[in-house]
Amino acid sequence: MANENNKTREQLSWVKGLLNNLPLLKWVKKYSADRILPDNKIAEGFGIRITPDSISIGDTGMAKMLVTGATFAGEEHTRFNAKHLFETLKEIGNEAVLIVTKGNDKTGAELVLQYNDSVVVLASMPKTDGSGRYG
Amino acid sequence: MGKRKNPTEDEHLLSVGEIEEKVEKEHSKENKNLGAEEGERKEAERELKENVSALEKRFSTKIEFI
Repeated sequence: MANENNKTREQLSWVKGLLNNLPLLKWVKKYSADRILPDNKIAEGFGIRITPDSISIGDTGMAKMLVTGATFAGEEHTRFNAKHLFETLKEIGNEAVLIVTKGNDKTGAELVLQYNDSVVVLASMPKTDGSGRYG
Repeated sequence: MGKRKNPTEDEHLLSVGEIEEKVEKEHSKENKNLGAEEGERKEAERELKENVSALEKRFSTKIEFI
């Protein structure tokens, strides 16, 4: 009986974690839950470090994937501030094409948004030391 | 008791032709919406096929959803 109670508590605790996961709930509300993957193998393939509670779920067309309870741990080249990208997209709309320039190891790449006959260039985030690592 | 309003005094009654025109307009609007939804659904299906196939190639695995 005590074992069953513990099991139920564990299961409910997992469900509670799910219900408290606002990004996941928002994602499902927008795209539905039809693209939940049975495991996180693809996420791991992208260099994402997962936890036992991680969930991989794509949007309607699998053009983007949300992985909950996860951290990107793969190799990286350049970081960009999402705030700058969000501010730019708010101004120019979402019809632009996102281009990552080739860049180099010292300065990193730049992010270019090409829309119609105009371009916005976003600077990369500064690296914290000479070794080319981010903080 | 106040005077009972005669609806024909201040309400415009539609002729059969006008009603048919209105119904026709509504139908065409609905059909247009249905067509747009169908187009979006097909576009999403095409996108899904393309992206899943790209992922399957990249990770040499078969992707299935729950």
